[in-house]
Amino acid sequence: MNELCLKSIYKNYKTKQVLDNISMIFKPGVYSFLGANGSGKTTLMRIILNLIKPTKGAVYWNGQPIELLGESYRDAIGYVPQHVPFYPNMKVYDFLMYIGTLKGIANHALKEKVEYWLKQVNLYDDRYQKIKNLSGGMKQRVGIAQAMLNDPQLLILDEPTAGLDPKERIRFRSLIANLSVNRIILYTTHIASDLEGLTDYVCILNNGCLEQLDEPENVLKKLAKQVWEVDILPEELIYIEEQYKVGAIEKHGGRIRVRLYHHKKPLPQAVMKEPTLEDLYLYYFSEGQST
Amino acid sequence: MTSFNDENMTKVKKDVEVNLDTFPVPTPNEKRIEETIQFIGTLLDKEDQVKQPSLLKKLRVEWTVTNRLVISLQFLILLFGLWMGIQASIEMTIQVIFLLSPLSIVVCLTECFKTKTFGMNELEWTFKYGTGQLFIVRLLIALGLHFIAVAPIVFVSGFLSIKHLVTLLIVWLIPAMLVAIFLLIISLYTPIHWNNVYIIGPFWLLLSILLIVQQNLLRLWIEMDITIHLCVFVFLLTIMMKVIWKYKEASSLE
Ligand SMILES: Nc1ncnc2c1ncn2[C@@H]1O[C@H](COP(=O)(O)OP(=O)(O)OP(=O)(O)O)[C@@H](O)[C@H]1O
Ligand SMILES: [Mg+2]
Repeated sequence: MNELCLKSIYKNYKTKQVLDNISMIFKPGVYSFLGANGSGKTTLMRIILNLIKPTKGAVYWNGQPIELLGESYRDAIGYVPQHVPFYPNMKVYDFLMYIGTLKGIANHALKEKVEYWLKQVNLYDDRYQKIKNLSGGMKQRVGIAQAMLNDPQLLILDEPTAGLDPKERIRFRSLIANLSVNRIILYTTHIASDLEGLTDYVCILNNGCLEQLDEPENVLKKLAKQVWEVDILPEELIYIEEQYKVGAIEKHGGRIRVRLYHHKKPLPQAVMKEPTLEDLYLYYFSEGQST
Repeated sequence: MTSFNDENMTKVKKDVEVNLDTFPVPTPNEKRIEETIQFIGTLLDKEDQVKQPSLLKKLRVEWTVTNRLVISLQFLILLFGLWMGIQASIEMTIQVIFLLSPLSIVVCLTECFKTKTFGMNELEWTFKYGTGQLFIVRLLIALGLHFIAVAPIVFVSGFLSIKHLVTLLIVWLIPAMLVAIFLLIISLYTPIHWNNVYIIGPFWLLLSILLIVQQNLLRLWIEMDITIHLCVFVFLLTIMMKVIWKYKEASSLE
């Protein structure tokens, strides 16, 4: 069984600290990294991929440091970057054949694999389209297909669901669920609903620190009895936002229904609610203050 | 060979136990265990790994994705050069080579830096045959294309003496490199995908007109001493390497 291990990873850009002492062990399963913009998700993925060096610490694949593994480590990984234009003038099919060769897949096997993955990501009918003519969601699926060509044991997806419509997002989730057998899948997102029923572990990254790493239910349990819903007058909103961490805000007739996070009952009329993954995200990444 | 049944197994186990009692083995420390694991890793056979494709195959694959515009440009240069070589005097031919080769060099070189131009570096680094090898393969193709485009002109124009050939080569290389460096610097600092074609085209046209108008300058340059040519050539080569290095740095993620 494969194992990926991060040992106290630090990363600084000049004086700015982007990652702060991250240590984790990954076994086959789906891990999702939740974090606000700039929290260091992409940086961490790049370090795991050996694209950039950590300032301190090291990454181990099956017990060996990845810098020493080189080619044999690259054999084992598939990567879908956050923004990749690909070669816009190539046709989807040619592009995948090209990438397959760069990954060192033998010719006879390659054709079959490309066709298989084209069907899996539902692009078979568009295989002779130029990449520049594809929609954002379709490009994303080209990205997934190219990552899967070498049957990677470690699949890394950086914000794969950004720009997908809800239907595509559901398709994507079932695709990932199918792929997750015997593979380590890491993916970053800032869409909390992506996690529902898909992820085995949630990793919450906040300003480069690993705040949580647990199964979704357990992470949610830690939020239990901290989620409240309260109806207030519009004028009171400013006061509430100053005092508490505020999540979703809805209009209800003349009043406003606010979801807020606090360790004890904030107002007499507040009602306790079950935490959701969306609450989880807002709890960690909303601007408001709470102690 | 006797089959290894349960009975045998228990016997072996007993033997081992007895021997362990007789010859106690010290428990190795953590470091030693780590080292042994690492060492065994290096002994595992690499048979099941995917093989590197051969250079020839890489060249062939890379050729299929080489920009058709670049290839057609090289062939246009070749055709025009050949036509000039047959038609015109030696002096004219030198001029033609003068004008055409920078274009050819730069167009070919920018093809080598395709990875950066399209922002594919992040992905290509994760592939089995990394960006370094890819660059070499592309460079080979680029040089090949450049050679095909410019070299035949020299022969068609009827230079048979070696001295002539050397002079011509130097005379042709230096201005070409000068322009190439300039254009490379421009395309390094302009992050537009198609900067290469759009910027190089008009610039090259301007230069050509300048050269044709300044006939005397050209003659002066050609008649200079060969050592001067050589010195300038080495100097330019260094700068060119520097620029290419900068290019590589610019495509890094840090
Ligand atoms: N090459 C770089 N040089 C300097 N700073 C960088 C560099 N790359 C990233 N950073 C900084 O590191 C921090 C983390 O960036 P990163 O791209 O990892 O965030 P992220 O979590 O992926 O954000 P997003 O959700 O927007 O993709 C940012 O503040 C960014 O400014
Ligand atoms: Mg990112």
